[in-house]
Amino acid sequence: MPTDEPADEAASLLAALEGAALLLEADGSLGLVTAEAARLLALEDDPPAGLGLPELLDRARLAPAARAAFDRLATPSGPDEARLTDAEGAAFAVRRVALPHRRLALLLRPEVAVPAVCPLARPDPLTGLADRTGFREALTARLADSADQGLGLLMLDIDRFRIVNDTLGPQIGDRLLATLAARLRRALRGSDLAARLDGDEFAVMVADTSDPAELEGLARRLMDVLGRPYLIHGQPVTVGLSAGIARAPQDGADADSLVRRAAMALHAAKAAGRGRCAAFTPEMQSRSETRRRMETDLRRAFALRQFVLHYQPEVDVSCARLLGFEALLRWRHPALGPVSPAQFVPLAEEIGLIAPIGAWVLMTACREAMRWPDGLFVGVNVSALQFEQGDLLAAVGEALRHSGLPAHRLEIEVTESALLTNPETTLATLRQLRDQGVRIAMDDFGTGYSSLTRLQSFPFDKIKIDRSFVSGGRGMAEGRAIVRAITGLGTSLGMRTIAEGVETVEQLDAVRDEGCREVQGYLFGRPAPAEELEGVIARFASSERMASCPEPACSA
Amino acid sequence: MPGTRVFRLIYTSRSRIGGEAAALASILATARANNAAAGVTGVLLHTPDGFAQVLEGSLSAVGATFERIQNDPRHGEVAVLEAGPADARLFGGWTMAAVDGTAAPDLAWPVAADPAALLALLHGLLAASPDAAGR
Repeated sequence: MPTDEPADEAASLLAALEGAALLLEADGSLGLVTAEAARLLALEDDPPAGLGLPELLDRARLAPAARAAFDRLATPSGPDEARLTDAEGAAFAVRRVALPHRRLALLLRPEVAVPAVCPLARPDPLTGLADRTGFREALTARLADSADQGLGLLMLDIDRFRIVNDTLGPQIGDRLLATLAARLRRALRGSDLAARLDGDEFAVMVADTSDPAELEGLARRLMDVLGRPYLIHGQPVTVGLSAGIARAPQDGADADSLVRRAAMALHAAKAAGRGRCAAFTPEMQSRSETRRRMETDLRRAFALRQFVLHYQPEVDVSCARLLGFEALLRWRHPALGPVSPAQFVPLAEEIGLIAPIGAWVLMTACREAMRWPDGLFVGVNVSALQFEQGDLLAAVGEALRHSGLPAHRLEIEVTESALLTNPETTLATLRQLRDQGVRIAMDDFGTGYSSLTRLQSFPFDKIKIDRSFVSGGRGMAEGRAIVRAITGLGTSLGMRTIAEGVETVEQLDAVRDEGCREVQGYLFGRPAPAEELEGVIARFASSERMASCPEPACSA
Repeated sequence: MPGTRVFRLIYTSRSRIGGEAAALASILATARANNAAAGVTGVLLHTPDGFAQVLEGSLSAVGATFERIQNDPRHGEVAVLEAGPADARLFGGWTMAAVDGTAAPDLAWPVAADPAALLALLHGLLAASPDAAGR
């Protein structure tokens, strides 16, 4: 403010404050008391102008100790903050702020007993919110005495919180959770109860409404405020949130079923693409039941080894020579028949079954490959999660050791998305595998987040060009141009290229014209069970003899 | 505080108060009272569409101030343009200077995410409005 500011600018400043404040003039007289401050100090009526602070405090209902502390605060040399209680024991904080012209402002802030914690709920040590047990007890109690009016339950969690923890460290992660919890508490009303259920999962009991629009409005407001940037140890951190909503009594009458249904809604919100909010619907229940049945079946299938591997030939078309087979996981469900890997692999990843299944695939494929002629390799797909959850190095090592397969006959196929999720760990593992002699192929190249830098980040032995460029599904000319580009790229980077999904002679001619020498697809053989491979291998051996393949040109 | 390393944070956000003068006055009054107490200085650029704010002070004071601002429903879509230590305060004379960017050319929201350009714009606007309050 300019030095010749109008005398009452500070007064208007205080008046504009929404909170409770007192303005003290340079001579210690009372310049202004905001309405909120008068209420907080329990002043019966407006204090007359020119009243001194001591007289004002005489009129306020303060505990004697509070009175003395208040006096000290009014002295510029004293402490500038104090916690006081009024005559009825309610706590408030007072902070002194120096203003120009030796005037002082005393800012009063009532200390609401942490609104989000009710007496039943015990605090989570990191955030001070109720913990899961405390929340469940409070919810049960509330449900018992609000049978007629209903209530709402919101469940919120942080999208990809694990990435924050992994990249910034658990200290930052914890700090983020604590700050987020404080924001959550501030955004709620006294009657709401907030809890940290687990990790980055939070819940809010909305005690006085089960109105869907109101609950969704609250959920969106919370997602907005909690999703704004945080400054953690000087570092800006931004996270997104998803939310699920369940209502009592419509969606569940007891605490456990209500929490379960809010969790289902949250799960649906995340599945729909995160950063969303979803309310529970009965369809979610049936979907979730189907999923749970599938999960049980999948665990049983693994225990009973209901999985089999099928093998699809990979061929050098310049001389019709068989190079090896890609192993493909198949599951025949006893009641549903064959289940697509696109359906059960994500489920296996979610329930932590992918690492053991992956280890079984490696072991089985390597053993099978030992029965093939020496030059043939076996390709095995690995999931992004195998790099994180399981010890892929150990699984590969064990499969090679037990089967006796030379490392160079094993080819690990990794997708671009695996390299995206956790590039450092993944690349480090791939490097170690390659050092042991295992070959590494980039699978389904051209889909998802294709990037040339990804190809530069690791010396892949082979690039597998995604079938969508081969089938003509993207337009014949465009597909061919991409095949040509990738093949050229492979040549200059010293990587072999193979076209996936070649089903017709026309497609074969097209990819061959664009410089691709290796192909895989129905034209050269469908994925077949192990017991049929002997015939496949024999068939290729005879056609190869007819094509009189020059040996050196075909060696990988 | 010459010679002391300060922490500077620059953010932009979208206004949810339109250009409403009373709400803006309230925001500034609260900011100035709080900042005076916490040793925070800075500038708030406002237009009917949004805000750009510079906060400078100790890391803990800027952190606490920013966190309080984040709880404010009167704005949204907050984006941090810069956060880090700086050699000196750029707005040391103001508990919170206020400049009206409504007439500034090419100031569309969200503003270009170049902190240097934004700071230059703020200095220019501040120099052009000698009565900017909050000193």
